[in-house]
Amino acid sequence: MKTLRFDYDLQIIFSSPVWEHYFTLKCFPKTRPRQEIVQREIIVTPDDHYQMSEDGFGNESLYGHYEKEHTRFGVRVKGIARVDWAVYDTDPSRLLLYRMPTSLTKMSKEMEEFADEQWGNLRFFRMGKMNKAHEIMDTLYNVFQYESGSTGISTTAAQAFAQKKGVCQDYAHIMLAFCRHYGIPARYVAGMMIGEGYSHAWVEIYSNGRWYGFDPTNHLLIDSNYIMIGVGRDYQDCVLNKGRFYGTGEQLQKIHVNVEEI
Amino acid sequence: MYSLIPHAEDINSLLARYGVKFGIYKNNTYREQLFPFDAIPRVIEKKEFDYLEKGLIQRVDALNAFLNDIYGEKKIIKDGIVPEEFAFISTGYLPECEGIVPSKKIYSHISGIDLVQAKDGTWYVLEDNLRVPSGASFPMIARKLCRRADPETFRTHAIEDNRNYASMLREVMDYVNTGGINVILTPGRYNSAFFEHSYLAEQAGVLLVKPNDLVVKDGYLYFKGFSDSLEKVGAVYRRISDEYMDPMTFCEESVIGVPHIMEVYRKGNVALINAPGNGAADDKGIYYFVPKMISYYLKEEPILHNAPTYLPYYEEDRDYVLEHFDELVIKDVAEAGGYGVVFGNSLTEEQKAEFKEKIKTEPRRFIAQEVIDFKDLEIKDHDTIVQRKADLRAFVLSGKETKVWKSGLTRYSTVPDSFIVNSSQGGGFKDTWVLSQ
Repeated sequence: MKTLRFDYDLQIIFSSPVWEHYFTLKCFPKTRPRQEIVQREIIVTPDDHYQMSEDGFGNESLYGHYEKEHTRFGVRVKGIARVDWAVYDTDPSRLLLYRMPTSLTKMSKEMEEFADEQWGNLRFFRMGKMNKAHEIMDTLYNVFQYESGSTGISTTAAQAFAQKKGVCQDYAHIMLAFCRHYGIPARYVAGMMIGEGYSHAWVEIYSNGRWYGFDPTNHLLIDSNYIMIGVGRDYQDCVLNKGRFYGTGEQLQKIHVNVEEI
Repeated sequence: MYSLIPHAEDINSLLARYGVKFGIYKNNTYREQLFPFDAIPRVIEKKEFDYLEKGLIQRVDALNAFLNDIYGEKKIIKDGIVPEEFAFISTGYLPECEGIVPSKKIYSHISGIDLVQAKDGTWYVLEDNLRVPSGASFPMIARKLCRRADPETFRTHAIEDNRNYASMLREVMDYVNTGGINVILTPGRYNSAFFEHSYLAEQAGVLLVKPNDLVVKDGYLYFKGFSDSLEKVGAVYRRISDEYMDPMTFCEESVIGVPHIMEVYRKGNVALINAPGNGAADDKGIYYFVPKMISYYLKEEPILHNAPTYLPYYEEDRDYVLEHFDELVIKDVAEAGGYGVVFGNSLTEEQKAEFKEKIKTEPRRFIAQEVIDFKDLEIKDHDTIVQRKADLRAFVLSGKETKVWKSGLTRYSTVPDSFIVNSSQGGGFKDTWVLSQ
């Protein structure tokens, strides 16, 4: 077990005022079987009414509406988490959702052929879910290249796989597609990793009553260096911030994440 | 039955003046056009309607139980009655609705069940519409105009009065209301079903509002009245489809939605009629399982029949479909509206082979149905009376009790022998008389 201090900071600057701003934020680590949030502070600017809620996947969300003109919007979440590595999920009812492909994680013909060539053999067939997921991660790590800016938020697993490069979101989507293709329940996790930088994304697979985390971007198993924020079928279910407003200005978005052990 | 024919022209011109138009909400678009009225009513005997009523109540109760289950415990999946592929891949299933318990646990408050009657008199359910089924206003206003044109006919025949639809609707709204006013939410007057929205609001005595009239504040939904006064809303009969209802939850581009209305709904601070996510129960693929839902949830034998349907997903059915390909209609579950519907015998040998191959590789994507020989109804066409295919949309309202409206929307095809009765084919509608004795 590790005790981690986390700081998630999102700031948006608008080049001209916006108004009637509706927002839904889902960037809040909450206490889950593998992590305990012992302290948490949320600062939303401009400071106005907001409400806490929950989405269909059990993630915590914050939503609000700021009517007046403003040129800045930000959310900062700071706190302390105690993190363990083992995971046990107590809500099997939603498990069924994580076996089906979504539009972002659908297999392409190319992916199917690739999978068949790699894993279309008896050796793979006989493996347990955990070993299969391991092998999928190993293979993905070898054939796929990390390159920031090479994909966008709406890039599908198939598109990213075709160009063999992408970011953590793409690694996760491709791994989800392959896992589900082989009948392994798998879900997308948005979260933070120890160190400084951006938010991160990885994959969890369900095997023998437990969730196991895989980080295909870093070729690592999830351990106590990772803090979960949201889970879902794919990126779309875990968008950390959504906003809608009136105004024509450009927006500049800055995200800064820091996680350190204490 | 023919006594209204001389008034047909007057009634039609009045309907046009009222703006009675028909639109179908499919493929996310509305088609709109005037909806011609045929003055020969469809007459349903009391005994026959009693049977339909029982079957419809049973069916809608089972569908509501299914929706409660699918967004909750998912027992029917775990027990292997409905395969998970059919439940969770359909576009109608919305994971955003997981864990939400709607007011009084009712999902489908207004259900439009489409039926056809075969030549031998057997009724078959063709489709369940649990999202935003429209059309009740047509027989309502047609009946009103008919009564005005020819009161004598209604004095001499024992016909159930169908003008109570609005009060039935009101009763449902009051029952699920979480505290506050009732409103009907319309996208606006350019929506082709605007006539229905405004007519129902007027008849039911509830407020007709547009998305901009509603605002979410502190976890509640409010109607913005004059000089910025706010009035709490407890029930919304929304005539906007799920994906456009809340841009913060569903389609972000929607400008006809109310941002964060889903959050209020999730907290149980407003009732939405019908509940979002109902598409999980009225999909083409799920239709096959409705009789099974009836036995599973209600422990009863289904009273109404589905059109005989085969699911190539099951090996036995697949073999049957491949063998009897020419006699069947094949429907692509993934496609909506009229797309992806293929009559087996209309294909060339080459196309058939190709299609069969598709069924073998993607069995889950298709359902196959026997072609039902509909019973024809009489239609007045200029100076003669002709025989045309027709269906019946029955309206079932679920509040404190589940009730069937003693009328319905009978749509007919204007093209001889065409099985397609919807308005895009230039069809019309009739009044539906349910006899009270």
